[in-house]
Amino acid sequence: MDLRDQLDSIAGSAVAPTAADADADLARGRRALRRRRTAQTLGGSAFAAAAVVAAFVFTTGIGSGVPGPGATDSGTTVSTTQLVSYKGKQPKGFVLDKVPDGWFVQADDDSSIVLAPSRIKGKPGVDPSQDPLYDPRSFEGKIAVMLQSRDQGGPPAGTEVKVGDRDGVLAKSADNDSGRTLWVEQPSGVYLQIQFWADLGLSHEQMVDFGAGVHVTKAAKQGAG
Amino acid sequence: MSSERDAQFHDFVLARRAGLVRTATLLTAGNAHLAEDLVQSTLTKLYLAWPAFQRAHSPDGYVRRVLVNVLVDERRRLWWRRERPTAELPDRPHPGDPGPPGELDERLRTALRELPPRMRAAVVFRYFYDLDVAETADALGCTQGTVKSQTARALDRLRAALQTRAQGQPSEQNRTFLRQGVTS
Repeated sequence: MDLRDQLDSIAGSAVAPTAADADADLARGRRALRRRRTAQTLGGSAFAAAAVVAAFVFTTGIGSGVPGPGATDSGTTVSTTQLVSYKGKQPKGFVLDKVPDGWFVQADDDSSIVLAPSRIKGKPGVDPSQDPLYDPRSFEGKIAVMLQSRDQGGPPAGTEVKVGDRDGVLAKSADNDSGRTLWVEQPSGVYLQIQFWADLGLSHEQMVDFGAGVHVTKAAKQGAG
Repeated sequence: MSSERDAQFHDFVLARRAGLVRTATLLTAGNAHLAEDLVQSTLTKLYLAWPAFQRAHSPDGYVRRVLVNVLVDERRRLWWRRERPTAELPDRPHPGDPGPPGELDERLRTALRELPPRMRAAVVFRYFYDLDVAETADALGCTQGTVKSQTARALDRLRAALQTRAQGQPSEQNRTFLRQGVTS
């Protein structure tokens, strides 16, 4: 059996879509088009105000500031948790100064850390496949810290921020929800990446503040893919 | 159907979705859920860019570029990385044992999953769809030299991964696979 046959086997058989499948794809496309047109309509008037807010918030050194609710690049994110000093065992590859109150390091290796809310602790028997919070390999509902992937380019467009004394970019998630990825430039030229899942209860200032308290050690390794 | 765009898109989905799912399944190394997500996002982007897609010199090439862009999209990349299995290797066969049917599929799927997305896409386009180097470079948005180096490295990695997982003498299936591919 050759490579093509193997790939053909993995690809599986072609299953013809139903009209309902096509309707659903069409509905998704229409919704996306409506969102784009709405954004274009609102964008012009909102841009100037947003730029002023962003300039105020993100160029005044909030990376070392006091956590709290604040204006963001797309509105206001209300903080519902606070950052506290991290007192647990330091993970491999990174040193943590702060974590959200009530969170813990769920998983760590040389290339990444996964932080999760402590409320999932002490519940043996929960099937991780039924709730990604319990799966240490899942980033869903969590904070993930890692170095930029070896095959990855630089940060995408986003809000330029000061993270401690380093330059960074806070970028929206592809789904345009409240999830964010913070890119922090390192002396090595490789970026530190911190992915905050949507609706974690952290303001953008707190995300930057958290990032300022993440230190990359020599043991940290870049992943791939 | 409210517009010509909608009608054309609907017909396109009916005609092409099955093939897109197969391609996406390969690009995601056999992850059916991620493949469906990839197809949905690709179709949404195509709908948004429908006039440009209609004007494209090579519609197939356009679709491939969108697929790859969605695949390597930052959020999905991270999602993909969290889905990657830990160092759990499949049960190893006894030396000389070709293993049960489908075992090589699983090993190849695991090895593909460990490739970076663009490298995986290069393998799929070159060795499954028989695209030439220029077409593959167009899909990946890179130079032809990069395609050549990426595919060579990918085959090296797949070969090494399959050899490691096969432990000992490779089965006849593996030997057949491992002889392939580095000539182009």
